[in-house]
Amino acid sequence: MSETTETNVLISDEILEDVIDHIRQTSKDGQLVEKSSLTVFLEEPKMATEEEAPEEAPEAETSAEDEPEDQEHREALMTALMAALEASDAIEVKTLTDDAGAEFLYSAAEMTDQYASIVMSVNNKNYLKLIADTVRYESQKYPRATHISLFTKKPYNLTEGQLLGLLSSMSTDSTYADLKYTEASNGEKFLFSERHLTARHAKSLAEWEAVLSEENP
Amino acid sequence: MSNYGWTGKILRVNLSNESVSIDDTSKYKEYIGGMGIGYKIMADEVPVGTKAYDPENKLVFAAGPLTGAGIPMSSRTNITGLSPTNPSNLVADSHMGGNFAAMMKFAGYDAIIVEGKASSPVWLNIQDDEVTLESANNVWGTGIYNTTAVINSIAGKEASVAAIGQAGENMVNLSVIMNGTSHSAGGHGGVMGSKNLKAIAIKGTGSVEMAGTGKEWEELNKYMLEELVGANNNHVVPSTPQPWAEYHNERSRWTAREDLYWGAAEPPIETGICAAGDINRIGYRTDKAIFDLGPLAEKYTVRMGGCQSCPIRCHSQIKMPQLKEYGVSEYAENTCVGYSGPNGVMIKGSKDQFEEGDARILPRVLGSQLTDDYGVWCNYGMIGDDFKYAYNNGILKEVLPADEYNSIPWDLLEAGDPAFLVDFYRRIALKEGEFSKLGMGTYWVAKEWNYGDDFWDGAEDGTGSKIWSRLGFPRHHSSETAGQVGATLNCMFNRDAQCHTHVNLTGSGLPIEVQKKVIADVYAIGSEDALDAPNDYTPANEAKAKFAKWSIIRNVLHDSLTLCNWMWPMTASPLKERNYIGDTAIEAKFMNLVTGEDYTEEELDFAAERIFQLHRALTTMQMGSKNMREDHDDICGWVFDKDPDVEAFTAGTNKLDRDDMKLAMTMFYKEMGWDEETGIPTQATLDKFGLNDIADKMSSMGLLA
Ligand code: SF4
Repeated sequence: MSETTETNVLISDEILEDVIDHIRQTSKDGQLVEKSSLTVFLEEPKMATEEEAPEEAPEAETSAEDEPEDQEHREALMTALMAALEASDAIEVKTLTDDAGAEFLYSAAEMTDQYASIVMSVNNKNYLKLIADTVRYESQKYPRATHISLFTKKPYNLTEGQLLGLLSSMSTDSTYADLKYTEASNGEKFLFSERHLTARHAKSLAEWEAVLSEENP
Repeated sequence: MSNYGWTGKILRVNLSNESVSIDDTSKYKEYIGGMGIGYKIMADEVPVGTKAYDPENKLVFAAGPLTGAGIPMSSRTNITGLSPTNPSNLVADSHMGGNFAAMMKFAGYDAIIVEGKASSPVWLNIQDDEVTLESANNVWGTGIYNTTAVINSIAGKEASVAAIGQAGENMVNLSVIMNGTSHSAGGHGGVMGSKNLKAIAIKGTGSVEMAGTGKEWEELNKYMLEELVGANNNHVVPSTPQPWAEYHNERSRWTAREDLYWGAAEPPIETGICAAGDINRIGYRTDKAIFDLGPLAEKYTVRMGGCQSCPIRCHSQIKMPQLKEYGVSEYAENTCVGYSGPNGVMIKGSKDQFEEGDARILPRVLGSQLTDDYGVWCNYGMIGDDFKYAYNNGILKEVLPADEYNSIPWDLLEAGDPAFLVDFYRRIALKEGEFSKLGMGTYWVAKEWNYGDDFWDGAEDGTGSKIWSRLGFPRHHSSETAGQVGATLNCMFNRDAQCHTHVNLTGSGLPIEVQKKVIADVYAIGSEDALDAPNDYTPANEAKAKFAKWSIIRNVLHDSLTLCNWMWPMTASPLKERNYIGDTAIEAKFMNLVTGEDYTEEELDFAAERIFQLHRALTTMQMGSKNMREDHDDICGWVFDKDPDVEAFTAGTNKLDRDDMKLAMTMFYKEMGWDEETGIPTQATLDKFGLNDIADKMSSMGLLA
């Protein structure tokens, strides 16, 4: 048994391993794990429950919604699982909360904070803010102008239609007044933030990315 | 000298008297190998004033102690000789990957010196200790593909064949020596042709002895592959956002991702996500086909190929049946400028021919087939610019006889049909008519056809060609790459600078603040001021001069060890836990493992600097220059005159300032221990590197300050 909590609930090594594998693989695949979805692991027959009544657990899982004590038990299990994950040397689990208050997990070794926060914004459908944050970040950090096609790629996954609609509403929203377009000589479109790049600088960076870098292999 | 790493033997082949002899490598130990051996032999044996096509010129094919020892990216052949493309026929190097260098070591040689001139066409057949000259009459006049196939059928299919095509035979200045039918060394094909040497076939059955144990070798390799290596050019971030990566950059060569396939493989193979640290997927990281040829190339990609001992595989192997319409094979293999060079000849652009989007891929793969078979070199893409200037300014109409002019299929060029390339390269390789002077190289064709100042300096708005130096070589990661750093090092060689030390970092995909920390960590630089944000330059400073020097020295070190400078040094790492800082001492670690010697990073850099000091001295003597700043290190005007509406050091331009560049050059000369006015190595500097004999020679020529 892996972990004991104040409620005397234990998580078996086997379960813990399965959960770790699941979080890892999901992170590798570029998705977050909703914490509540982990209950499925806690409903397995192999799940060990309270020390004194292990054989009662399978029944509890089928009537969880109706029985307040089962609900309590499930919460205890989840608390124990989170504690076991926290204590595990095999994984560093990080947590994000969405706009509705639901918690999501990812493995730090398989997913960066940067990527996780993009996925979370996509889950929250905060597209305008996500686009603005991305463009501002890239203009300041790299620095570079952001090719608008970025937002049609994973993990943004916007369709071209969605993107055009979003960009058009962005242009009329004063919150995003610092975001501007620039274009390379081959017609490819980029966005940049005036807070961090001048128009000239942005244009030259866009030209480099779309045209000149190909001529200087 | 230890018996480890080096084979201890250099093969000397005199084509004039058909003699073969063995030299001892140990006398070149201070020069490491590869390029170092090449320059030392040129200094000792080729008289100042010799011309490239004189029988007295020599070609030195050399590898270093790390080649053949299973060190990542180590099968590079360095070829040294006087080059015909520049006006004084200054010494230069050409480099090829493939497996020639490793095979040369397995046959027991660190280098092959080719001297004299055969009385009739021959090829050199090396089978370990057995060395013979064979008649090349059966392959003379044919291309590299046929030559390689025929010679392999005689020397054995395992033999590595380095051959020239018709261009080399005809002493076209812009010609290559090539092994493995896609690994080309540009610039010395004509010299090989001038010696009536069609090819060198080499088969070795030995191995390279290593001082360290197999376990040590494995551990060091594992460390490098897990912690330091990225994708081609050591780009350390992926080209798309990926879960494992903190950063990404669309121009990164780490192109592997989900749903990207080698589409013509049977069955198709998905590159998938190849995260840092996953050493078994390094070979999938760089899908160079889509990088060089665009998205349509995905379905035509069979796989990635590359050099012996390289996990990166930067050559894309393409199967495109439409190529047969042009009378060539449906298969093509190449990388980078091997593709973009021919594309630059399509000066009126290219149009789709068989399907939407093939304008991007067809001229590149067709052109690479033609140039690889004829053995034509593009002078790092400059041949297209030379042609463009002559065509657009009506020069061709003036200098070509009317019949010849009218025989050229201009309609194909104007229509953007890549079939034009079939005619273009035949004329160049076979030296057909006046038009073929384009194969002389920029300096000579500009002189022959009287190009105007605007060719060199650009139009009034600074737009023009890619020409960097009036000696006829183009920019190659110059002022657009780290400003004064790229500009300085582009002035230092006698051809396009083939230095990637600096651009591998600036192109790594990392944010500028991370790059600054990485460069500040390099012992020889130690300051974030060495690097500016792209297109947002600051004035010259000492750190930039040190960065330029270190970039060159490491490039020279790699060409001497011999390692691929398209990957090395490991300045950056793909790992966040290392703060993206690589390990620039790993060359020394591998050197010590293989040779059993005890080099520090600084000592290896010192040895490499000796080699570069010798290069500078050889160049000074061959030019007879008393002022290298003026005679050699001059930069074409467009670099300073572009973007006329803004001053240098304005965000959004990479133009440089003349006075500032003069200062940058002075700072660099100081770092190198050269006279700060003339850029010529001082007596004290030459003495410091044990080049006293060279100092005496320069002094007797009146060239020392
Ligand atoms: S990176 Fe490319 S050129 Fe360099 S060794 Fe590897 S395959 Fe050869």
